[in-house]
Order: sequence, then C-alpha cells, then structure tokens
Amino acid sequence: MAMRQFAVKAATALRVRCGPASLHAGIPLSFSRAYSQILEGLKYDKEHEWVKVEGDSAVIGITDHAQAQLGDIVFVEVQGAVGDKIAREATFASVESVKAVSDVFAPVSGEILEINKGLTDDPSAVNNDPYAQGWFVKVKLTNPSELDGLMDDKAYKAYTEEDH
Amino acid sequence: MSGRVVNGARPLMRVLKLSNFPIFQQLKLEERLLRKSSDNWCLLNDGTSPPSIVMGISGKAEKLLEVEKVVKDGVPVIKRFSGGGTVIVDEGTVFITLICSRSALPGLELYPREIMSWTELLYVPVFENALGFKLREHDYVFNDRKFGGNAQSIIKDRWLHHTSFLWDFRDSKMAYLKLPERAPVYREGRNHTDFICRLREHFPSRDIFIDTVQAGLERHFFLREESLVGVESELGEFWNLENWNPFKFPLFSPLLLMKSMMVDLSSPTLEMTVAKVLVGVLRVLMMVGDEQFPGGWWK
Repeated sequence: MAMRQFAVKAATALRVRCGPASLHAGIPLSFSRAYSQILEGLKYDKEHEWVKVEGDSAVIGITDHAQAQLGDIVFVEVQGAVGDKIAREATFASVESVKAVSDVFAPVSGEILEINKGLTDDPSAVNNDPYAQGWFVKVKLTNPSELDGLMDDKAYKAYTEEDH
Repeated sequence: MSGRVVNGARPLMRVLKLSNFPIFQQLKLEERLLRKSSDNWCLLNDGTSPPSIVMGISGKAEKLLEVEKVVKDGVPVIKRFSGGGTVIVDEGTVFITLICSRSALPGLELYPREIMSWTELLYVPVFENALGFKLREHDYVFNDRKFGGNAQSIIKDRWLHHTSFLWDFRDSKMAYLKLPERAPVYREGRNHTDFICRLREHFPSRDIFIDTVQAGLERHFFLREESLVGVESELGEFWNLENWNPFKFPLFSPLLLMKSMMVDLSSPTLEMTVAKVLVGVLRVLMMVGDEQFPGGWWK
C-alpha cells in the first residue's frame, strides 16, 4: 500500500499517468501537453473545476491540472451544508496544500445535495483521483444555462496549454 | 520576475507599520485587506502582545499543543485563515505580510509553490549577509535551522503571504508545542530548540531588519506608508476601539457600530462579542456626553 502511494505521488510529481490506458471510470481520456488528465464528457471552468452533469444535478470537483499545481492536499473544507445554495464564481470550498489555503470557486450555481465527507478523512483523494473519489459536492442546478458558458474537454485542453 | 518597472513605474504597495499589535487583530485586518481591498499591501508588525499560539486552518489543538499546559498558563490559541503549521508568537516575533493582486506581478501564477518561490527571490537580497539563507521545503532557513514560518491564502486574482520571523524567542515557550505529525523532512525529528534559530544573531537590530525588508520590497514595488487610522477609515471598520470616533461618520456611526458588531459575531467566543458591544455602547455614551456636556455631564 505504501509503495503504491509512493508510486502515485511520484507519478503526480512527474506528471505522468500510470493507470489503465485511455479509460477512467468508463470515460475516455485525453492529455494536455502538460500531461494533466482531462476527461471527455465533462465540462470545465477557467478556474480549473470540472462539472459532471447528471440530469438536473451536477457533481463538482477540481481538475487534475489544478491538483498538480496545488501540491499535496492536506485539508478540504466545503463551506456550507446540504441545502445551502452556491453561486457561480463564488467560493464554495477551500483546500490547503503546501501551507496555502486556496479558494475553490463554483463553476455553476446550485443547491448542495451532497458533500463528499470522505475528503475530511482522506483529502489526498483529490490528488490521487480528482475525477472520481476526489469529488467535492453534488448540486441541484438552479441555472442550467450556465453550463453553456463552460468548456468542453478540447477547449479546456487548449486552455491549460496556454499556461493558465 | 519582479514587479517590473513598466513605463518607469513599479506597482504601488501600501505599507502599514505596526508595533506590538495583537496577532488576532492583525489576522482579521489581513483577511479584510485580502478580500475587500484591490491594492497591494505590506503589513509589518514588530512584536505582538499578548503572547499567543496561532494554528493553521486545519490545525487540531489536541494534536499540536500540550493542551494542559496551554490551558493552565492561559495562553490564547488562534486559528488563522491561512495554511501551514503552529507558531507561538510574542514580543520577539516580527511579522511581515504581503498582499498582492495578480496584476502586480504579471506572469506569476497564483499557486502555492510559485508564490513561495517568488518570495524567496524577494528575500535573497534581504538576507545576503547571512550565510545559508534559502527556502527549504517551504521554510525560511539558514542552512538547516528555521527562522521564519510562512503561510499563504490564495483567492481569485489575489494572494497573501505572511511570515512570522523569530527575532528572538524563549525556549520555555516552545514547550507549549508538540512535535507535529506533518514536519519537513529536513527537520529529522529535531525538537523545537534544535530546529529553529534566532534572527537577532544575523542582524544588528530589529529596525535594521525591517528597513532591509523594505529596501528589498522597493526593488519590486513603489512603497507608500499608511496609518492604521487611515486604513480603519477606508475599511469602515474599527480594529482598535481606542481610536473609534463615531463623529468621524456622524450620520452613519450607529450603522457602522452595528456592522462591526455583526462582524464580531464571527468572533471565537460569544463573551468577546458581548464585551465589545458593551464597550462600544459605553464609548458612544461617553463621547456623546463629552460633546453635549464639556467637562462632564453632571455639570
């Protein structure tokens, strides 16, 4: 287990991916020139959050690019509780890494349906599995038209390659 | 990169110099300046009182502190809004805080390691006469001895980097702190006394250190000194009830008092909030009394 954790950390630091080729949770992968993992089928924000739409709700997390830039994440705090509203571009969570607390911004507006409590005990899930185990919140979308303003995987890949 | 001389102008940085300012008030002020101002700031606080323990946002007292001893000695414990570890601060601590907008340093990506690396560049000329200065696993060290702890807070298009420099310290105060579970590799399990060192061994005086820091900042910024009273007025909040004068804003003072009370509802204890409200009300009554009845309301 310790060896696997070391390998994951080394892979993250070197920005290579050592997992199964091309598929992650059944979703095709693509790679940016910076070797961050970008999943097809998700929506992306300029602040490096991802959105997985599920009907009238959405799951939100931070991208592989973001977690790599932040470093080892040691603390995650979602500001608010189930039932609270979050607004697009407003801060809805904080993460601590490398002695820094960084705000995480909502890519869409919604009502919190579920918070990933697993991140309290294991914040490293954001580093190790940002698109699956590292999800932050699930929300009921209150303004679905905001999705139109987000990037698809190709646009986000181009965006990250511009050194954002 | 530096805060480049663009068209002959460095970006403006507003400098607030304080002395023995309470660390709790300092942290509140810093967070307000980070989130409510769009300017670049440097806060320099030479010492603090009362001595206090300050933990990072994720700190847990039972894991980081010798709680029984802290409670027995009545040492205040504060959790700050930034990351990082635990420090004990007192009159021997010199605080330097930088708050910058993205536009001040174009090209600096607002991520922890990038910002930390930029501050190392800032401080290299400051410590050029001290052997072995470097940023080592996010600590400022002379070789393998830490003399400054730093932490950061990053929001949209702005960042804050604050450092508590160990000008001097008493070994006995380190006894309040446990050896942290998360420690840099270079610490190698050393206790606090063997791990840290005093900045006073490298500078003739605190004033010279602070002046040297300002000189270092002037390579990147155009500095302008501010007053705490001026900052208070600008923020519309009151960090020092001694300076509070409702007649500065005669029409709005009651609203500002209410606003400051609402801010203080986030204070760590209800008792502190109630005490501040009572003091504020009494001061209003005293000041109104002084105005209406010069020499005393009983005359």
